[in-house]
Amino acid sequence: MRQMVRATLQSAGYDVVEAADGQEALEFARGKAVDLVISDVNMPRMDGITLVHELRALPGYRLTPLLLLTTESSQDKKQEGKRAGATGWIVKPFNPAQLLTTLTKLFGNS
Amino acid sequence: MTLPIPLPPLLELAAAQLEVALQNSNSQVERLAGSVAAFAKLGAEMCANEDPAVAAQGVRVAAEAQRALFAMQFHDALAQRMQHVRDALGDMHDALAAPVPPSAAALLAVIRARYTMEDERRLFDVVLGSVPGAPASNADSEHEALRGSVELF
Repeated sequence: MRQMVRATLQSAGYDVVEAADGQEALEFARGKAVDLVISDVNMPRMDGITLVHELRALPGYRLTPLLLLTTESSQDKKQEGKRAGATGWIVKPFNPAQLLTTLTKLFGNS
Repeated sequence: MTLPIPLPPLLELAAAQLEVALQNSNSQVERLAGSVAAFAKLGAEMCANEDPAVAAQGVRVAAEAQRALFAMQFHDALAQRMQHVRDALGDMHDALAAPVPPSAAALLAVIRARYTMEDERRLFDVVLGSVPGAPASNADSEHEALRGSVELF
């Protein structure tokens, strides 16, 4: 799935950095800020909702768009993601063109 | 009825077979996704070409690459489903091997809680009945409508 997200973003000219799971992403984020985070919810070591919560506690990530991309469509999980500080919730399979339109909206509004 | 061979090793074997299948398919899909990513990048570069004919071809290449990227996500759902089956087999193995096995209700609750897709929850409920306290699954139509949806908070 990471390959597919990366291909979509790179085809539109975005630079992409990947992490294998939430823990690795958090360790990267502690050293460097990025413009956007797209994370799965179900991951080993640290899930996406915990990652969002941890990222929001970092000074460089208070306003960063954090999108959760998941097969999980239940309202409870979505609300959990929202409470953790996620900016948006995308249910897989994602439409590449729609994802790029969403990013344009996010960056256009910031 | 008692099986002539112990169940725990069979459960362990089934889980291991699924694990191997997952690993093999993941490496192939990674390779395929890398190829499609290269096409997507090529299409984007062609789109920026000064020659209108090349740019028009680039639009087609990019669109085909996006369609392929969408279609390939079937593997992600398939892999998750297989992981959940593998994990359920592991749960059953552990329950059978435990000195004090958990209740059937507790075991079923653990297995259902692993699911991340409404399809899985619905199938579980149809076959085994609903688990007390577990969130109800969405209706078919609601779930289908949510696929591919983007919601900004």
